[in-house]
Amino acid sequence: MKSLLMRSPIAIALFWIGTYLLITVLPLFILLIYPPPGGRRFWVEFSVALGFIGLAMMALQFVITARINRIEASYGVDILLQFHRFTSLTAFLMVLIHPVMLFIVQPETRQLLNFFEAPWRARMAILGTLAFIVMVVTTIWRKPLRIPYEPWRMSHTILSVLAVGLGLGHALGVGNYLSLFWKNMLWTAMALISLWLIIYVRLIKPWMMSKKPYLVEAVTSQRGNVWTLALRPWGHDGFCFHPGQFSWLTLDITPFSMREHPFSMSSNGDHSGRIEFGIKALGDFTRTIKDIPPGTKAYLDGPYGVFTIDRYEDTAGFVLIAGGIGITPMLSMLATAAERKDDRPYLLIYANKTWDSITFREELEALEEKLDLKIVHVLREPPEAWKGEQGYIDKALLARYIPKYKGTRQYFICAAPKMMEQVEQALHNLNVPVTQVHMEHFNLA
Amino acid sequence: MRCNIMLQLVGFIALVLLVTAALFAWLQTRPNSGQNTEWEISQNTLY
Repeated sequence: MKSLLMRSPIAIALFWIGTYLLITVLPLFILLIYPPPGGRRFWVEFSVALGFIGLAMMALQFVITARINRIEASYGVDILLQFHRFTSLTAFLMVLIHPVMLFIVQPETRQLLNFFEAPWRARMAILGTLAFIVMVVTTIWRKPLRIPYEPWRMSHTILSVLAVGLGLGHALGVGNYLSLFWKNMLWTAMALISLWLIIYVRLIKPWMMSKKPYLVEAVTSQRGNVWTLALRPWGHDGFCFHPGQFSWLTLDITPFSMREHPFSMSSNGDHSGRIEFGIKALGDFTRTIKDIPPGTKAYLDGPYGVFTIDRYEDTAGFVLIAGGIGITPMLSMLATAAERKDDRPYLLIYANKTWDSITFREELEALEEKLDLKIVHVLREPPEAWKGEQGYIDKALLARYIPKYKGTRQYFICAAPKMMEQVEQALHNLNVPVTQVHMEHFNLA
Repeated sequence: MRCNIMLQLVGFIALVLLVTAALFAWLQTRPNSGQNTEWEISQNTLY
């Protein structure tokens, strides 16, 4: 059983989904033990059940987003965040349907919407629902509303605590199902666990990070408007990582500020004494990297991610497909494999705009000498005498290079979201098994 | 494609939760669920 859970992605998925469902519905099953309040109709009980399920789903979001290694190790932060987004919307709908259904089947409950005359339990429900609405709106439309990332993140945490806290206060205040001591304790325990996770993420983890600082050793210019930021541990041994993983980087500010940014490590995973990141100058934060002086303090929360060749020791080889800055985790994989004298074949298909913009071009050429590595450069704007591939990585191009026996390789894709989607679809159309295609989305916000 | 798989997964979870909520409501409102229904109260008052 343990072996199955460690190896089979289907078994792992079933385990986590089963656990999620069990935790979400467990409070309802426990409520069934006791006689229910009398005289209530089916739709009222259904509405109440939706309210409890929505509240449990909301509380579980704190677990999903707490970067707990045991959970993250199964599927990676980007998939967890996607799951978080979709289940949050599901919880939101259930929380909205709960009062709407009550207003329809018990019209007298509509007077509870009169905030100033309603009892406290109803006011908590209104305020909690409003907090949830604001949270959903500011998250889905963050960019059109021009809300900067860091203020959004702070408000997201505050609103989520308000929504869950007020929701629980409402449920306790209504008291139909929560008037017995141990039922109170069950819901209070869930709330306390959620609160503990917030304290852990916001206070304990930053405190642990502050005990293990790093110093900037060098900031080196690379092709393609990319900078390599090299850090060395200060007063501790640093950490080794699986090549392809990423860390959350806090630079020149206290880790309690929560102003952290995820970047893939580009250096050898077996070398803890110097950790390098390839960072493209694209946004407000990344444009400042080039001006960071050596000696600047930094903090790392990591490593995270399942996007690594280390999970596939028994594969015959690898196909790495990168676009632009997506080369960063691939460089780490190749550099680590070269030092380990990995004799398996590696195929790198790397898309860029021009020959001069190919990031880490020289480093990759050097790795061709140390590994069974074939590099296929794909340029959108090739030079005049270019005889290589041009345009975009599509099904036809992939068909020319990926091995005949496609199931013998593991495929890694890291690029802009649109390119990843297209390459994933192309691999699917070429009958590459979906369980052998691995992607890392680096647009987590 | 991955997004489609996630949508299907969450859709399945939502369906299971809706069915569970409906089952809960049915169990709580069926006549012999242990609650004092109006019928039982009326019977008690008669006897």
